Amino acid sequence: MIRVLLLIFLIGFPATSYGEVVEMFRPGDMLSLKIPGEAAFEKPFQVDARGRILLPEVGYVSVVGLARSKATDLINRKLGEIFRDVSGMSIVIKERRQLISVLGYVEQPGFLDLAEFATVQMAITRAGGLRAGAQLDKVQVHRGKTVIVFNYKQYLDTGNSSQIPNLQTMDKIFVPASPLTGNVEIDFDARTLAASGDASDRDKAIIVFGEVHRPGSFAFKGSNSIVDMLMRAGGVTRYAAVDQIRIISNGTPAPFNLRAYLDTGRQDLIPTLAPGDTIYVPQIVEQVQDGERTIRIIGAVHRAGRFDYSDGMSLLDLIAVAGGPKAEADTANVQVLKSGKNRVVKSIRFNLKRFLTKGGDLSGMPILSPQDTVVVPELPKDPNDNRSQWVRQSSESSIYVFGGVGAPGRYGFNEDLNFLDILSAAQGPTSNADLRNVKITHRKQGKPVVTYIDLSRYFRTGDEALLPKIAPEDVIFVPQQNNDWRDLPKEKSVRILGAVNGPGRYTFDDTMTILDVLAEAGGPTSSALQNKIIVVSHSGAERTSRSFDLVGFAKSGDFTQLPVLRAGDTVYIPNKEEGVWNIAAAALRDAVSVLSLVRLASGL
Amino acid sequence: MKKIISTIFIANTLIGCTPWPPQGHGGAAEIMYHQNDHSAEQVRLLKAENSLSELRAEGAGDHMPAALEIAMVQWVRAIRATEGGFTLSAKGDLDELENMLFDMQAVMKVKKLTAARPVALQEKVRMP
Repeated sequence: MIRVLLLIFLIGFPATSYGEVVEMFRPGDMLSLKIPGEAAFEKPFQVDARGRILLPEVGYVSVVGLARSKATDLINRKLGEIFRDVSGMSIVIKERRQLISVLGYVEQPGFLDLAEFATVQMAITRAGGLRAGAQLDKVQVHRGKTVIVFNYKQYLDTGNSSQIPNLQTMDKIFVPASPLTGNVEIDFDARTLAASGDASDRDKAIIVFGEVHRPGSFAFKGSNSIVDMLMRAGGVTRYAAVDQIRIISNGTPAPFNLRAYLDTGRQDLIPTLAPGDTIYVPQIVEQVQDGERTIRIIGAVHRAGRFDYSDGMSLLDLIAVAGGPKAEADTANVQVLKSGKNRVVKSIRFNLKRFLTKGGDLSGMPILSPQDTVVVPELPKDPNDNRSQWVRQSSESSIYVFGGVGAPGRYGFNEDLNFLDILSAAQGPTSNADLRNVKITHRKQGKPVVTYIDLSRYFRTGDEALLPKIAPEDVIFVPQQNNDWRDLPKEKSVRILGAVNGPGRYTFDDTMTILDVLAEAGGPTSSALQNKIIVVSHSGAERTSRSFDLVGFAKSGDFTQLPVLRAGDTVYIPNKEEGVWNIAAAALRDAVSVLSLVRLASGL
Repeated sequence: MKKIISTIFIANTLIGCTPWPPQGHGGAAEIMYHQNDHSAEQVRLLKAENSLSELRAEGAGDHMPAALEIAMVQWVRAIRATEGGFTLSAKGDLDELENMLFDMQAVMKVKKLTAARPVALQEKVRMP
C-alpha cells in the first residue's frame, strides 16, 4: 500500500509542478479558451505587451506571469460573472510568439509580432532591413534593464548564430547609427559609407589618410596588417610615395617602405599596428621640407633637390627618385658628400657608369645617410666645348692633350675611355704632327714616367698593342714635325754638320740610311767634299769614325759602300778646302813662299 | 836646296794622306745580304731570319703586326752592325732580337693551342 502511494506521489507531484512552470503565460502567447457552446471563444486570445488578454464581455484580464491553473481560475472567475456556465472551460497555449521592438537605423522601426524562435536577423528583416549608415558592430538588444551589445557584422561574416543573442519576447532591438553619418541627416549610399571607413570607436580605429583612394577611419581587428588597412582604404594613389609611408603610434612616427616589402616579400618589414594608430601616405614631392631625414641630390639629374630619406635607401634609389641621370651626366664620377664630425665633409667618389654597365658588388656602393649630398657631375655637351667648362671638372677626372692636335686642352676622362677616344675628342693630330714621337707622361705612377708611341706605326699596322694605357691626369703631347730640333731626343736623331744645305738634328730610325738623312738635310752644298763624308759613331758599344764616298757610290751604285748610321751618330760633310790636294797645295804654296823668303834673305 | 824642296814635298804628301778615316760599309746590308762567313753573329742572324720567316708564315703578321715590324727593324739593325764591323753592337742587337723572337714565338704557341681546341672550350678559355 505504501509503495502504491509513493508511486502515485512521485508521478503526480512532479507533473503538476512541471506543468505550472512551463505554462506560465507571457506576452505574445496565443491562448485558446474552450467554452462549449460559445462561438465568441473559438478564436485564440493573444497576451498583449502589457500581459493582458481581451475577453468578450469581460474586458482585459492580466494573465502574464501566471501559471495555467491560476490563470484558469482567474479567467473562470471573471467569465463566471458574465456567463452562466463556464465550468467546462479549459485554457491551452495554442502558440507561443514573441513581441519584439526593433528601433534605430532600420527602415521601419516598430513593434513586431514574431514567431517563437525568430532571430535578430528575422526581426530586422521584418523591420524593413538596415538603413545605410547603420553601425553593424554595435547592435543592441535591450532586455529589461540589461543591454546586450553584439557584433551583427561578425554574424553576417561568419553565419555563426552564437554571435547574436537569442530573442525573448518583449526584447527591444536597437540598431545604432554610425558616427560617420554625422549630425545632419542626409542620404548615404553604401559606397559613400564604406569610403569613409567603418570604425565606430575612434580610440580603437585605424585612421588612414593621405594618398589613398578612400581615406577614413577603419575598425581594427587584431589580425589586420598595414597592407590590409591600405587595401581597406582603397589602396594608394599613383601619387603616393610608397617608400615613405608613416605610421604614428602613440605619438611616435615610424617609417614604412611599402615598396621594399613588395619587392622582397619580407614579413619583418611589416610594422605591427595597434588600435588608435594613424597611417599617413605622403605624396611624392619634388622637394621636401628640411629635416633630419632629408637627403640632397644635385647636378645632372632630371629632378635635383631635397628628398625624404628612407631607411636602406641606396644611391640607385635616390637617383631614381630624382628622375634618373640626364644624358649628359658624368655617371663615372658620382660623388657622395658625407657630413662628418666637426662639420667636416668627406667626399666619396663612385663610378656608377661602370656599375651600371658591368655590374659589381652592391656593398661597394656608398651607403647613404640622412643629410648626405649626392653630386652627379655634368659632362661637356660637346668634347670640343670642354674648354668652356673645364673649371667645373676636377683634375682627377681629366686628361691633358697638348701640341699638334686640333683642339688641345683638358678633357673629361674616365677609365672606360682609351687613348684614341681622347685623341678623337681633341680633333685628332694636325697635318704636321710628328706621329712617330707622341709622348705620354704618366703622372700617377709614383714617379713621372714618359712613354713614346709611334702612331704612324699604329696607323700602318693597326696593332692595338701599340696604344698605351692612359689614366686620369696623364699628359699627351703630340709634337710638331717642324719642332725645335733641341726637342728631339738624341736617341732618335742624328746630327748633320758641315757643308749641307740644312745642318741640324734629324729624326732617324733603323729603316733609314745615310742617304735619307742627307736628303732630309737638303743635300751637300756645291762646296762640299762629297767623297769624304764622315760618320762618327758613338751610339753603340764601339766609338769609331768611317768615311763615305758619295760620289763613288753615285757612280757605282754599290750599296755595300754605305756606312752604318744609327740614331745618335754624327755626320760631318767637309768642305772642299779640307781636301787632300787643297791642303797639299796650300802647304806647297806656303813652302814656296818660305823658300822665296830664304832665297831673298841669302841674296842680301 | 834640293834637300829642302824634297823635305817640303814629302811633308805635304804626308799631310794630305793621314786625316781621313777608313771607308765605311754595311749601312744598307739588308739589301744585299749574303752570308759569306760562319761567324757566331752570322749564324745567329741566319737563325733569326729563319725564325722571322716562320713567324710570318704562322700568321704573326695578323696577330701582332707591330711586334713583327719592330723585330724586322731590329734584324736590320743587327745585320747592319754585323756587316759594318760593329761586333759589340751587333751582339747586343742580336740579344735583343732573340728576346723579341722568343716572346713572339710564345704568343704564337698559345694562339695555336687555343685555335686547336673545340669552339666551346675556346669560349671558356677566353672567360676571365
